[in-house]
Amino acid sequence: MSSTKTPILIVEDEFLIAMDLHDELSARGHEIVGPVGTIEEAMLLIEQRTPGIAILDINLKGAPSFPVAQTLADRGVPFLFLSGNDASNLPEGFRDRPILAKPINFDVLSSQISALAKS
Amino acid sequence: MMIDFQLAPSRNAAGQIIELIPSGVDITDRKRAEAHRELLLKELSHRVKNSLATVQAMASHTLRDNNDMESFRSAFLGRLRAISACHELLVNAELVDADLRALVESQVSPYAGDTSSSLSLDGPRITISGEQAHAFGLILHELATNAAKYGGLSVPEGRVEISWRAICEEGRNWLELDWREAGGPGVTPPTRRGFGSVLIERSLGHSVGGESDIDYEPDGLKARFRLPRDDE
Repeated sequence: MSSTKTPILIVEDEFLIAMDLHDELSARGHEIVGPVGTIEEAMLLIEQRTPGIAILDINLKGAPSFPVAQTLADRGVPFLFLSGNDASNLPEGFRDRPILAKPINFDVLSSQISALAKS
Repeated sequence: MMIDFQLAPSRNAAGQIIELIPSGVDITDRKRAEAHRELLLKELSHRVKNSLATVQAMASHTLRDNNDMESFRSAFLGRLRAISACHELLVNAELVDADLRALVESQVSPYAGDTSSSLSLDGPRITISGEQAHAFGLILHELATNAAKYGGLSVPEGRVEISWRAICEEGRNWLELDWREAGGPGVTPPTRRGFGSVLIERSLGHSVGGESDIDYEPDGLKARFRLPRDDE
């Protein structure tokens, strides 16, 4: 189980899932930034304070979250994708990023977060 | 145009092929229908997965708030029915828009008991998007169950008045809905914030660009919600 205190940014448009991530990761000792559900809000939060790690839902109300992913990549912030679909359609630049299928397995998520925190 | 082309051999009495008979069938429509079906299946699979993820999240939230099995059971099953009722409404509306009155009725009426005097609905015919219906349907469910347990639907003399209207403010169109409880036992703001109240207060802002304003007034809960309307 991870004990990193690195702030984790959560970008997920579905409120129930966003809050579940928030509550579950808080309970596991993580500091949470957000959650936010749009690209604009995510960009604003990153601008205010660069997070240590980010969790990005791929599909935000029909728009892919790749602009957020690019901004994080530019700043050297490690992140993972969340997906409700099979993730075969990630763009070239993001194919090596970890991806977690929904419904979320929180034990898997935790170990992915630990791995990202060390990277 | 897509053609299914075939060559059929024609044989003589000795079984030798003496002729090849060509034939063609236009299968453009069949191919188009197959592609359409594949697309629908993909969309369906996507929706089912999303629904399951939502149900998982709802189960975790309900588990965090309910320590004993019986209270978990009733809270979770109620929420599951609320999600299901939103789906049903959307299917009936042919997956596009939901009628607001039907949404309010489906979520609130089951908690209003047999007497219609405890519940009043007042507003014009307005449709909201499927996305909004999902988010707002769950809020209505939480309000209704709270009212049935502690508020305007928990005693015979209590009541809930729900009214809505289309408004325009600074060039933007909104649906505004008021939820007003009266005649129930005295109201006190919740001391322990369960997920229900978090959902009521914050989900519209997060999910669909809406607003929620909740007042725990002594004579009953008063809430106002706004949902953006793009069409006019």
